[in-house]
Amino acid sequence: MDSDPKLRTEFRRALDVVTPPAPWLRTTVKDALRQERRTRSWRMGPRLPMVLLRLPRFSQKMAAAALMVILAGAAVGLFLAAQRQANQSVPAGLAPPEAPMGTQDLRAGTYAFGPLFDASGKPFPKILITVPDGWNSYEGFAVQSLTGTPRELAVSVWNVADVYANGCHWLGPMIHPGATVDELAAVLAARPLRNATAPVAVSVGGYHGKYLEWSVPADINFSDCNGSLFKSWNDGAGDRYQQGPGQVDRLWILDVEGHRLVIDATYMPGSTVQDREELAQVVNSIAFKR
Amino acid sequence: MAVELAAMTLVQAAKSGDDLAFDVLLEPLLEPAYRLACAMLHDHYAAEDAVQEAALKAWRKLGHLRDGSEMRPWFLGIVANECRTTRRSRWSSVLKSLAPDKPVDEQADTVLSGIELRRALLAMDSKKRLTLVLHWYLDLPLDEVAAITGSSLHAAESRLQRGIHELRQRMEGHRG
Repeated sequence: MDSDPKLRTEFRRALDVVTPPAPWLRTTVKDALRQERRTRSWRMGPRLPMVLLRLPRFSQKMAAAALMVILAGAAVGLFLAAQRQANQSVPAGLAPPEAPMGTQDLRAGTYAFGPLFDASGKPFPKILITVPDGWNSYEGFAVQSLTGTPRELAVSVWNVADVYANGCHWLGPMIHPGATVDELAAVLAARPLRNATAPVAVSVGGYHGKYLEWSVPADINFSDCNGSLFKSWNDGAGDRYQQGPGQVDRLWILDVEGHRLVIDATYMPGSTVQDREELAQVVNSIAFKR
Repeated sequence: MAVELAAMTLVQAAKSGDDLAFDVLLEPLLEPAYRLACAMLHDHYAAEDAVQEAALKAWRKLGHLRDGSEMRPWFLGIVANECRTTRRSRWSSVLKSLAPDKPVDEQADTVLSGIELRRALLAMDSKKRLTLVLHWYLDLPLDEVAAITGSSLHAAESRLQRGIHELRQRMEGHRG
């Protein structure tokens, strides 16, 4: 079959030239799958058990009818829950509602985020964030506004485990920043490409820590980065990716009852002064509640 | 045999919603998938995108994998389809990739024959190109090539022969 070994060798060599190593492929595919599963887990619900698909035709019909009844019941339940959520105001003295999972529009008001766990598995206090109209929640750990536009704003909370040494060329060993606020602040401030400000003392919601700002270079092309991604850190469950060139992150690294928590308020370069003021108001609203 | 049985058990586990089982099955296939995509597209950025998209599609459509079927031909078939779609919408990068990527490292004649071979490959119809790449570049046996391309073993064999013939003619013409 391989009657021309010389041609075959040339052929392989010619294709090797257009096949450079891509050691990050495994990571990017894994991340994409994780993202897809997260999205599907709230949008689509779990996949149907295969046993249902293997039933004989009559049983399938019966099972389908039963499934319709279950789905109808679930739909009514979801509708009522959505109604309850939409009507939820925050009466004085009552606990604010939990921020919903997935991506959902929020009415103006205060929402509780968490639980977020520290390295020892102990939950942090719940984080209360007040947002104006037009914001939405993302996966129960972030709020965002103007999503997908050049003016995008977001506030998210993180338990940073490891920091990427270089946001663009992030393949290779990560930096473990120790356990303290000061250690993480120093590691972040020293990262190349981020134009970080010097960390300064700060206090949010009664907890002390360090504040700094960093950004993504305005002239960078993400397709020149490993896996076409620009990354900041990993929290043990997932990565903090940056959304575009010129993005600025305002970071509050807090010591919350002896454990480190990062509040990340980010804006895109197309945001207006008013947008950034609104972002600052959302950060200023942050309170903690056991 | 034990390995095949273990893989089948993993396929069943993955089909019933075990994401870890799916990941275990997918991981060893990423490298051949990437090589296939690079060979079909001649653009490694597009190849990475194609593999990623194929992985997502495979996860979404795992229920379509017939019981008793193997994961590798099924997944590489999805990658090949993804490359076809990508190539249709990315003609500019395909044209761009005709230029040599590493001219400094290679002798001029090797570079030129490499370019000519890639040109010849891109000029072939997609099934012939896929057959050649799967058998000559990924070293897959012809029965698996037939499964991936959705054809009989005989059709895969004759497509391979025609592809080799075309390549040979092109290279002879190039060398004068």
